[in-house]
Amino acid sequence: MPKGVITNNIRRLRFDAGEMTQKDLAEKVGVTRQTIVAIEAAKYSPSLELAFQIAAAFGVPLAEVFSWEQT
Amino acid sequence: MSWLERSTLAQALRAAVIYAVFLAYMQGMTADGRLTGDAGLSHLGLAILILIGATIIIGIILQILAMILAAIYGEEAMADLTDERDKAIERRAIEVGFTVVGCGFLAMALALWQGWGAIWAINLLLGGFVASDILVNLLKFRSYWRGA
Repeated sequence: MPKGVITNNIRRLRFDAGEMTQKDLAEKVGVTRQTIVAIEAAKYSPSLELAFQIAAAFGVPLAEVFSWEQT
Repeated sequence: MSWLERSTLAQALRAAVIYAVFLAYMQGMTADGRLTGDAGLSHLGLAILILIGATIIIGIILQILAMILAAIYGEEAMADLTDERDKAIERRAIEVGFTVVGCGFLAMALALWQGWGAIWAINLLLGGFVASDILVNLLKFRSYWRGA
């Protein structure tokens, strides 16, 4: 299986959404703020379901939030 | 340090302290000669039951205290929420914990094979469980600490 890294644009999307806080996003998708912090820092890869929920919270397609780059 | 970090660290300390007390009690029983023969196994069984009960009760008390402190100091309202990342952290730590329990079981079998006696063998198995409990909580603490 090829190895890669999942990157995300959550910080920019939060900025675009009127400086939505990590806590606000966490509450919208039903996880802890620490989980959002870990995802944003690319230290934790969310499940597909949570990834879709995050994209829905910003009202954008999944590919606009997360991307995968082969290393 | 977040609520979860403090909680997992407290649980690891709880296991270490209770087991240290248990070992001191075992040493006393050995010195008194209460751990010999069939009666010795009976005394050990009772001591292990007390150890398990104390571990559960103190664990619950610590959890309640942590939640009260979190409420008093106005920490995250979602402190009691467990999400998929918590489950992933728990799963990774438990995988390592099972390995440690397995090592304890192996040590027990080796001790019996070498004729160490049932009391030593049981203690090795118990030690594996306690080491697993401590390690699981320390690994969880490390994951929360690093934000992984």
